[in-house]
Amino acid sequence: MQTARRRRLASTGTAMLLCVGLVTSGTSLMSAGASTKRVAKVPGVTARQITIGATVPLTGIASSGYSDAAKAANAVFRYVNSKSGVFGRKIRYIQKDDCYGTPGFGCTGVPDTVSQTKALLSLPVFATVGSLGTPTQDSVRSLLKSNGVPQLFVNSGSTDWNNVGTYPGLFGWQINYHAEGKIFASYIKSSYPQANTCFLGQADDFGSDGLAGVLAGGIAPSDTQLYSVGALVVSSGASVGPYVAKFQADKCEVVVLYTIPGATDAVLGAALKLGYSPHWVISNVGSDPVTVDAPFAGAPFPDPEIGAVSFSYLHTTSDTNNPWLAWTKKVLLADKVDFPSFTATSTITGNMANGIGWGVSFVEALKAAGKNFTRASFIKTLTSTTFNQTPSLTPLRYGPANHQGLNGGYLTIVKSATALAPLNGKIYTTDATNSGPVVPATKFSAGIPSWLR
Amino acid sequence: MDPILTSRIMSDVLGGLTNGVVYGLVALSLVLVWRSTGILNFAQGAMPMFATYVGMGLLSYHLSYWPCVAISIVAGFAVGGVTERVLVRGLYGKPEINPIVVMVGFLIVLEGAAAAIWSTKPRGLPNPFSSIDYQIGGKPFGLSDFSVFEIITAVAVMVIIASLFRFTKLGLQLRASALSPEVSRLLGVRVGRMLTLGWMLSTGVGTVTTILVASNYFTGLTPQVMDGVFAFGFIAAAVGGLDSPVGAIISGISIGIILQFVGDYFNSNDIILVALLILVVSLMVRPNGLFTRSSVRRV
Repeated sequence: MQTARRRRLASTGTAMLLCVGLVTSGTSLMSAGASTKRVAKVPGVTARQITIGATVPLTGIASSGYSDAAKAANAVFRYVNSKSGVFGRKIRYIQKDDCYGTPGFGCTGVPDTVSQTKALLSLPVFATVGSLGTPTQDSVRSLLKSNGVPQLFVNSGSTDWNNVGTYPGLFGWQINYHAEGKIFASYIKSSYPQANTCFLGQADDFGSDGLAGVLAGGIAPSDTQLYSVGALVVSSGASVGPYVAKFQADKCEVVVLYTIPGATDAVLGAALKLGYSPHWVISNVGSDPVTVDAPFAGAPFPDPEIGAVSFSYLHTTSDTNNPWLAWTKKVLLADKVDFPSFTATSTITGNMANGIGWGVSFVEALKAAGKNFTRASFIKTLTSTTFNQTPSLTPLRYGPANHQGLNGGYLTIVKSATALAPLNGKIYTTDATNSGPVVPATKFSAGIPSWLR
Repeated sequence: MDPILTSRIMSDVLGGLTNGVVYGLVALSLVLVWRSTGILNFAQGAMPMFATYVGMGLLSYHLSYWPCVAISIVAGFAVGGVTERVLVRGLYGKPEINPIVVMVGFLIVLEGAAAAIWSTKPRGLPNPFSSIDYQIGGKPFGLSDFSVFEIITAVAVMVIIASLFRFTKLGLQLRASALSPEVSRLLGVRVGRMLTLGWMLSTGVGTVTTILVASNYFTGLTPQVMDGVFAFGFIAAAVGGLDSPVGAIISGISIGIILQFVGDYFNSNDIILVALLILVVSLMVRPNGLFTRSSVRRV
């Protein structure tokens, strides 16, 4: 009896573990055809309110730091709502936790972006705005398209969002990883011309787009590694250790990282353990100093990210001439729901600044679309307007054949556990093609629209 | 200057050993609960995580490291004891799926509660010893002050638990309660208290493990900090045998070393696959575990 029971239990436990393992390792490939509810002329829009939504990682491996982005955007919406909204409409922003599509035992959301997106569709929402992640948002492109729901300002730098022919309602926002990679390559060529450069990226479009950009920019890494998020989660970050050891053995002098913050921590920790200190060049999405420093806080050594070079399409918080800095503080201070402990001396993290950026972009687009708009007219406005007064360094401009988003920014350097500073202040721009050159930007975003102040 | 000490193989063995003792500790805590109450505790990672937050959270109030560690362990005992009394006591004798479902639910509740109370932002724990590997001839040796501390701590915990069970009256009562509760009760053993004590010990061991993991893996303390480690610990317990503390430790260390070699010589993205493969093959070959004695039944 005891033996049989033990076997049954072991089998049940094993089956559960296998399920978790398979889901963790696998990619969710689901398509769906949820029926659209017709509750209003423009779904999600009434005379007094516009409902939008997003799937974001509020729990799980990617929640560290990233969970603040959508909350910061919501702080913008709350601020605008406090000033009577846009044309009298208040913005209602629904965030659904999708755990970055990567289930851990502790994900309190549904680790399935498709299910959470269907939940948003059932509300309904006018559009999704600022949903986070490349594989996660790739998995719902068809679902949103078939329901006619615009997928706006996807919080990822993949080039997947610029596919106007197939997905006319899909828009990126931040500069894409490919362009960022080219700018990194340009920096490495000029600052470390003879250096042995190596590359570690995430094993999806995030890593492969970044790698393609670095290659297109003229740097061929001598050692290229791609890590799986599933292995990173299960091994508590230890899975990247062997890659770092290999870089050390290969004598890599410059290491380019296309990693999410949790992986950046694991890489920097593994290098610290090995006494290995190459020059780190870290993609914007994995370099936010506050987020990256969190696990190292209290350690008897300096933040290992200090000195790393990264990239920003937004003003750094050290740029005190930027009028958006004071405005952002005002907005976050006013939001006592999501930022109850934010004070005048609190640090604005890169993720908060990111959310503020596309949050402002959305309300500016809503304003530009006028009082009476449809999904089609909103998209037309978006593709025919240049937004010169957003928190970004360069103007936000889309076109009928270009849904990528921002295309410029400057290199930054991690100065402390809380601050990035511009490396040389030069703003560069490029495109997502392999041949497009990296050139100094000539147009800049400046000022705050009077109605938003 | 000995090249063997800084060789790739030695580095993998030492790195695997450091990870493996942690997996062994998780497996040991699972075995403690299984042996005392016959329950497979899927919240075995989350319960000590919660206790660690309670204790190490006091660092924010300027309490120093070691008192916080002590308070965490006491909190671990408390979480284990309260869980057994309140949540688990009613599950004895019920179909075996019941405690599994309840404990998976409890895991989700605990991690959700921890996220709500302390947020999902990683909390760095001060590291009492350096994590930087020793250098021999300018090359890393694969051990650091902290990993040595980790191994010594794990061995000490294992020796204490083994001594408790083998050489003390309390240990005898614990074993008797697990093996034959009815007879033990007739002999005057307070079986209920022994079951509670089993859970307390298990969560206490888990709390020590959680502090080691949160300090060493550069991911900090998060509500999910033990998820991955639990998975490998579970595999170690199943492979070693849920009845065998020695088996849990040996298989934990073995799995740590094997996975380190897989990560280094193949691809660390394959470690989940290899770990699951080890589990499946071992259950096919020896379903009761490699170190569990086969039960003999007279017919």
